[in-house]
Amino acid sequence: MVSSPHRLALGIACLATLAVALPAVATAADAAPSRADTLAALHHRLDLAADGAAELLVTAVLGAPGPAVLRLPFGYDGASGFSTAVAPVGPTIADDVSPALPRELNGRLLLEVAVDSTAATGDTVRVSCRLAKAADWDRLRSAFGAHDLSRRFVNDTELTIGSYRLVLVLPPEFRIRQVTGSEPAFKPRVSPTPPYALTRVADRDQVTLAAGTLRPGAQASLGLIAERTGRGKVPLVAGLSLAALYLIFFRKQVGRTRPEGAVVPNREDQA
Amino acid sequence: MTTNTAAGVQAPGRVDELLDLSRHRLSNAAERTASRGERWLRYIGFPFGIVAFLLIYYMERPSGLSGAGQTVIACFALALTWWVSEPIPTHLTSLVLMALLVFTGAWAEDDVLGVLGYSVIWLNVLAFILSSMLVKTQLAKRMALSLIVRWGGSSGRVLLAFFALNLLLAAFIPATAARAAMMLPIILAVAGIYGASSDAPNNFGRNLTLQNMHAVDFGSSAFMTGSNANLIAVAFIVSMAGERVYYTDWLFASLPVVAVAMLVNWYIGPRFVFRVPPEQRRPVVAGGIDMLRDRLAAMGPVSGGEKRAMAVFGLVIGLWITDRLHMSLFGFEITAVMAAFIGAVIALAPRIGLLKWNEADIPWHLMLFSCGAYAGGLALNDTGAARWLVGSLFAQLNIGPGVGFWPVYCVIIAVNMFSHIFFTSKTMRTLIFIPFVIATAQTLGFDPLWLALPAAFTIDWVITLPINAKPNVIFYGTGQYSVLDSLKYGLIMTAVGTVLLIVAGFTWFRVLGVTPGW
Repeated sequence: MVSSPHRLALGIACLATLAVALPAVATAADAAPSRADTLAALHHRLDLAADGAAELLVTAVLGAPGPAVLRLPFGYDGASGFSTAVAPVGPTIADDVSPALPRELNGRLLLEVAVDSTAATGDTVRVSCRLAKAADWDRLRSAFGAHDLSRRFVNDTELTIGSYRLVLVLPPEFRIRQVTGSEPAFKPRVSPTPPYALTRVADRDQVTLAAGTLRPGAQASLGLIAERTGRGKVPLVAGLSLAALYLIFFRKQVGRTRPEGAVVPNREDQA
Repeated sequence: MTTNTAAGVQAPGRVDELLDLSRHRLSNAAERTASRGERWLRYIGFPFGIVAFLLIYYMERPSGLSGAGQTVIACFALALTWWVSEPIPTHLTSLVLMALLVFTGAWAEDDVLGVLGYSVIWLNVLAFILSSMLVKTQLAKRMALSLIVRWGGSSGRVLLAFFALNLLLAAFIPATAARAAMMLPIILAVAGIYGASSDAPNNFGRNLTLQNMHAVDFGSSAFMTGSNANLIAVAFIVSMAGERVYYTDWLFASLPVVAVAMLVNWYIGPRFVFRVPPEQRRPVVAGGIDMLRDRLAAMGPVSGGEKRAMAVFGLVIGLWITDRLHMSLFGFEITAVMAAFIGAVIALAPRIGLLKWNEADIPWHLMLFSCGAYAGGLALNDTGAARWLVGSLFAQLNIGPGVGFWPVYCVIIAVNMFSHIFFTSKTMRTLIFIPFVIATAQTLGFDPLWLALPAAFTIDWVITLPINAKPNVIFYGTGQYSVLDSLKYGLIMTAVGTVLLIVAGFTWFRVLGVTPGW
């Protein structure tokens, strides 16, 4: 038997142990679903439409085997119509994956998706959704027909993302005017290739930003200006008119008589 | 001593007039006259520039090129056409270009206006202040007379002396604009002695100014430290190709090529490009060299003003030459611009200075011309258009596996050489071209050094248009030649340089191991 004083001491010791251990257990329990605390890669593909809506495809490549609850940085308001798939597609994996849903956590909008124990490193989780108002073209319009489509991605989760890629696809009615900047920045003296690339696929402009490892709190960004595809007729009319006027009013310049005020050419000594 | 005078042409007092550089202010835009051919070129150049703009502006945009990039290329095509054909003054073309960049939305207004504050513009302004100091104190006149008396028996000897002087300076002063500013007043005085002024340029003046421009530009390629662009090229070779390039590697390979190029330049210029007639091969002052010797003697001992000018200029040159030591000496680096700043401040300071503001001969029309050229070049770079153009060019060349080394070498040298016509910055050209060259070599399985180092030797060949480099603008300000003259001579010498580098690639570079051996 344990004496009273000893019971008291034991009780205090147990309480102290519990006081220390409980938060740790709680933290462990909270962290347990996120056993995979690294992502090999995260890709966002934003397919914009002329009405401002967009299709978003989030692709996450697992950096560790399951089971895990992945909390992916999301940050897009008004998303709907989520669908989730896992590759390689196998019944045991696909069936056990919970549908991805955005979840607000401490003011951050995260995308939560659970994978089971059969998920392996390198497996890919794809989540697609629809954004009703990804680009308000009228509101974004500024001087000289520029539309600011700049994007910033912040890794506001505890995951370390091995590489991040953003693909922004413009509707056929718009095209890329200029990339105004990026993070990581383009430093030609360090690397001759910019971190972004402009391409056109099926008559649609797209820009791809490739960032390296993003630790928690790190960010990637792309400064992008878009414009309407068609060119106005004003430069054409003004240019041709100016050229015609010049040819008419300056024709004396090449006439037989020297134009008024011209000095006698001093070219007789040239070869 | 013989007297070499164009008999009966010059009045005895003419020599002072010729050497009075204050009469030929660079700040007054030279009113040049045009031949019939040039007038036709102007006439068709204006609409041609507009048509070039419209064609590019409205063409279907290729993949990989941004809308702003396409617009900038269109604007630059218009400006380039107008700069060459000169339907309007070159500085006005620059202003048109800058306005076009803003109004077409190709480049931001702040960026365009900010070009006036770039260090290259400041360096030019300050260099002209220092140059004015040399003119006012008569130091430029004394230096020119000394040079003529020593070397000026014939125009050929004078031109050769300038080449030697430029090559020597290139070894010590990496800033090409600084070298140009140093030479400018002396060149103007010498040109005057041979009868060439901005009012009445002649072929000796054309040869003198253009050959000096060439020497300042491609003279830099003789030395690895000859320009900042050379060092960037070497840095790429080290970082991308993993090859070490030593100062002597560069020197032994490139110096002979540059020396031969200078000799060829010196030979063909006065004989074939701008033939110097017999009356311009001697000083056009009554009494010839003897008269000039008398004038030099009449100047008396070096005056206090000249000594102070020498001290100020010596300080600036000293700072330019010792730039690599600044960090260890002062704990910070004094750039070429800030060294010129120090000199200009002293020169303009009341009591101790040598110059009043109104005596500073700053050609602002040239500064605006430079601004336009830089704005166009920077916009090409910022919008990715320059990178896209070079990438497309390399793609069009269709250099793929199985192609032998020598055809690739010849194409790379030729493309790198002639590409300078469309660039306004050596640094920018280096940043874009050299990585492409290294990547091409790696793709084809060649040692990257075989292509990259000879390609780096082409970087300083920026000799065709006034927009291509800082010294070109300074020399263009003398009014001794037109853009068309510069284009003609520049293209000829670029072709000569291309041939020389290709021949060197087959021979001398192989001996040194720069290109694959036998």
